[in-house]
Amino acid sequence: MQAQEAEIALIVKGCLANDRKAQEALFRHFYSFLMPVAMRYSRDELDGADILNRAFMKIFKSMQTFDLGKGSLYAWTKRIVINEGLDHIKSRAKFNYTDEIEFIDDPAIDNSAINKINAEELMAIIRQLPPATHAVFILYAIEGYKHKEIAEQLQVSEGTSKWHLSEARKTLRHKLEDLNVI
Amino acid sequence: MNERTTYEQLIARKLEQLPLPDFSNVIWENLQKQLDADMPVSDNIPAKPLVGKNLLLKACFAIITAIILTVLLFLWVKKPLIKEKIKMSAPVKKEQVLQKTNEEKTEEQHIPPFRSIENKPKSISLIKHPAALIPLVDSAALMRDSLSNHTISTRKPVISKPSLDTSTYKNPEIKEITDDDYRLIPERKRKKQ
Repeated sequence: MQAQEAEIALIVKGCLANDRKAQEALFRHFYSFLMPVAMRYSRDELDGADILNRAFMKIFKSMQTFDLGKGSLYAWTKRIVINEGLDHIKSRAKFNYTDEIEFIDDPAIDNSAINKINAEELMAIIRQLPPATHAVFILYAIEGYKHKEIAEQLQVSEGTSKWHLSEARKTLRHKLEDLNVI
Repeated sequence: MNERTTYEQLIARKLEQLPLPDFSNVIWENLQKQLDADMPVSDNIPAKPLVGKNLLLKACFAIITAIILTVLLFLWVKKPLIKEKIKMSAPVKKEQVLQKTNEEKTEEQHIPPFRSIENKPKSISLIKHPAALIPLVDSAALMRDSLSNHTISTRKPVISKPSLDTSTYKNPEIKEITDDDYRLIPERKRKKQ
């Protein structure tokens, strides 16, 4: 663990000196960790590659703002990829909805239904959601953000965030019904 | 609504199993190109694009500088004219107007009537014989002057006073026409006479 930290510290030092080898090492080291994150906010694999590409450019350009003493490089880079993914979704959709809700009955989905389908099929269903609903569902259900945090991040109200989550759950249930797994 | 459901936690775990596309080489090649353009390293600076970029930047800088200088020059030239215009169109106080009219009145006393009329273009008066006021220029005198000096004379033109009553003027050498001048006489008789 300490050896890995020392290696990351060396890579960061090289990146700060604009060393191409260090930048490549950083990219190769974090690719398997960050590519799935980028994929969650994309419509397809190429879209995910585009998100990751832009995120890495930001990482290299703003490396001097990263402080190893304050947090891990994993969390910092993931944050940048998520922001880039949200920007990508924002460019395709509007987040300002007038329909706001405080409480709604969640449609129940059995765990066994989820177990019947594989990860690719699940991702395909999530990608069929409208862009804004897709973003809220990923942020809430997968990344584990709270509605308040999502609202701040997407610059919408908490009610709007809840409405999108409710819509995502309902759509997910309908899609699973269509696949005859419920 | 405010808690992650168990099936959502299951979805999150399932998505971690998502197979990764192998785009790492393609993405890195693309990143390298972008890094060379945006954050060039002294060893691997691609020459042509950077020269082009610098030239473009220099051209843009030169154009912007030229525009700014032109605007500044235009404003600098225009400024006094605008000030003059404002000065001319500025409202005049009543006291100043009164003082000015008094000055004009005193001027009128000294200046000959011809100039006083010129200074007062707005005061319209009925003139019985306007021809009497129009100065006559002696063109012959001017011609003589110009021929003798071979240059344009700087002297003021000779202005003679208008002579209105020409009916009273008589040339002693010209005889008056009498009724006899209109009488028809045959040629023979005329010879006899």
